[in-house]
Amino acid sequence: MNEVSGFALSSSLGLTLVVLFGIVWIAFGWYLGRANKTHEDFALAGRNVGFALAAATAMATWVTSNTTLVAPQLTYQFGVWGMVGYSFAALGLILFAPLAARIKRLMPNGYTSGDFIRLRYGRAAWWVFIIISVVYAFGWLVSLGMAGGILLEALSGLDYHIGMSAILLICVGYTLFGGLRAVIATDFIQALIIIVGVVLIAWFLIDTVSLESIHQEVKSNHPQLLDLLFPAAIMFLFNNIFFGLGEIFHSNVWWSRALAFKGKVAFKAYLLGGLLWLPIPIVTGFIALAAPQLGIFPPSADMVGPMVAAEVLGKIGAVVVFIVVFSALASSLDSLLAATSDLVTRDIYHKYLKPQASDQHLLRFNRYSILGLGIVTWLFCLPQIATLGALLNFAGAFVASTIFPVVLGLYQRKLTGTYAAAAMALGTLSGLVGYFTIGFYVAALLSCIVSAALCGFGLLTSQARFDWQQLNEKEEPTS
Amino acid sequence: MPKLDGLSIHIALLLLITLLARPAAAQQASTAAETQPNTDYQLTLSTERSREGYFVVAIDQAPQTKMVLQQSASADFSAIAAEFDWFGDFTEITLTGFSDGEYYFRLKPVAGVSSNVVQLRVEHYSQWQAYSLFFIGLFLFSVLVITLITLHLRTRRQEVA
Repeated sequence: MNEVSGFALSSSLGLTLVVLFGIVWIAFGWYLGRANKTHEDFALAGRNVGFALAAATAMATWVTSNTTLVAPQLTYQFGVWGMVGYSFAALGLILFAPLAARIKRLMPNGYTSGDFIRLRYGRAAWWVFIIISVVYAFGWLVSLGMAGGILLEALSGLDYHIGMSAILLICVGYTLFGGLRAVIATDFIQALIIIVGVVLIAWFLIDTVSLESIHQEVKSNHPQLLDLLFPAAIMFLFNNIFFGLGEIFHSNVWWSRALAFKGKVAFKAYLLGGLLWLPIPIVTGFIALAAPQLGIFPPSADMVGPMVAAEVLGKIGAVVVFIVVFSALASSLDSLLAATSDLVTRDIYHKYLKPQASDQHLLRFNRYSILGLGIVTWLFCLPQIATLGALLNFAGAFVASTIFPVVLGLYQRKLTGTYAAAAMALGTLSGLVGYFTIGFYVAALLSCIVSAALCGFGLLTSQARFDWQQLNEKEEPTS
Repeated sequence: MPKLDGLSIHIALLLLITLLARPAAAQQASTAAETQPNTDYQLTLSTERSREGYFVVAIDQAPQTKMVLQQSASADFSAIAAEFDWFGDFTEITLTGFSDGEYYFRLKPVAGVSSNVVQLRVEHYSQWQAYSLFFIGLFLFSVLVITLITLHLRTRRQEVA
């Protein structure tokens, strides 16, 4: 550690790393973006992504601030259940595998998850869905921007606003130039960096601080963290699972990938991505348990991961932590920027405001959307309004309400738009009530329960028979 | 697409603004204690009753010297149960893993540092509340997985047929 400031890196080294990262990723995005000729190239990478890139992008996108900063945060707060419970978020990717295959079969010409809701359930459900998607997308974008700021502040003491602005600038930059093609290619490299980096950190940590000493310290002074009957942690467990499922099942981040993957790649890619992701929160979460033993008590719980790693591994370790976490943040932030701008361009601008827009016009609008999203996110990030975990779990109240409407909508002809809209709206409201009256660890669970009950009632009372052909919407050629 | 030179200028300006926004003294928390006059810090808690065993202790100003937070089971601090090093120049510290009970906190009184005493009660949720939510979650998750697998297999059979 730096003797004067207590930080592992000097501010100048932190800033240098950010600038180097920025130059490399933006140049790479520009290089890849030269192949984009049409809006479909830009938004869906030509619908031709192979298995290796597909599995890597699924895994890397899901390794995000959730995994690198929030998993240690929740371990610090909820103990053993925090890290084990977090790893269950892999179920989202694994259970999305069959859905992804089904999506690709039903909507070979589809663009977004919003397309599906509009065609399957109609306008009312689409509006509810778009509101949920936008709230979630901004919740996640803001949490990622904040995570960049928190990371740099924890490692080098640089002002939060610098790290936050830097990661937004870098990701907006290369997504703007390269589109989904750049996002997926950078995800592949970032996935390799993340796996190697996380393994290195865990290996050094166990080698430096023995498991026995960590266990003894936690058992003596923070006993609740080892308690398998920790009440709040037990309450949090399934909430986290439903939050993860809701995030993946509804978000255009994952739908756009399912539509971009080649042929029958989607099922295998999501399955493998989920299995590769499963152990990562265990490793990153475990780091937090060493904090008390090392005398580290972070100002904010979401800073505990980088602080412990930097303390144990010194300056070189801090650089490794920086590269791994920055890669993880970038791999999610770029994906979310691309997917949300697709949603804005396709669902709102093209389908609602300007149906006659040409392909080149849409391509241009998509890029302006990325820029606009980046700026709005930056403004939201300026005041550091909550911890990452609290901010993310607020979004859980919204997304968990979409799980049953999406699953049943893909496989069941009977569920109608009215019930789907009601399930998403009332589910979200119930989740928010739970969030504010009980705590963030019940929001997604309550949301999903109410939504599932309404969907079940809708199925029992409905006589409708949806025609799957309506989902295969053909594009009208525009010049 | 936005023009490249225009975009570059905007990026450079944005970076400059954020660089200028950085507080100059952000990294210089540690100075010699003996040169500082006595500072009386005001401690506050994020909550007076924690249901999860974690909470945040905050001070009203950035630390002027290296500080230690003390924990005790009594308001007079006759016995110190634990001590926590305050990190850097941050104004908050997050503590975790506490069992049910009453806890008192203050800054370790040394030359140049004093503070008020704050009291916290940790009262975890009851087991029946936790298990109720756990089993509801387990039931709902089972319903979802069974529904998903059943519908997927049925659809595949129909597609093959």
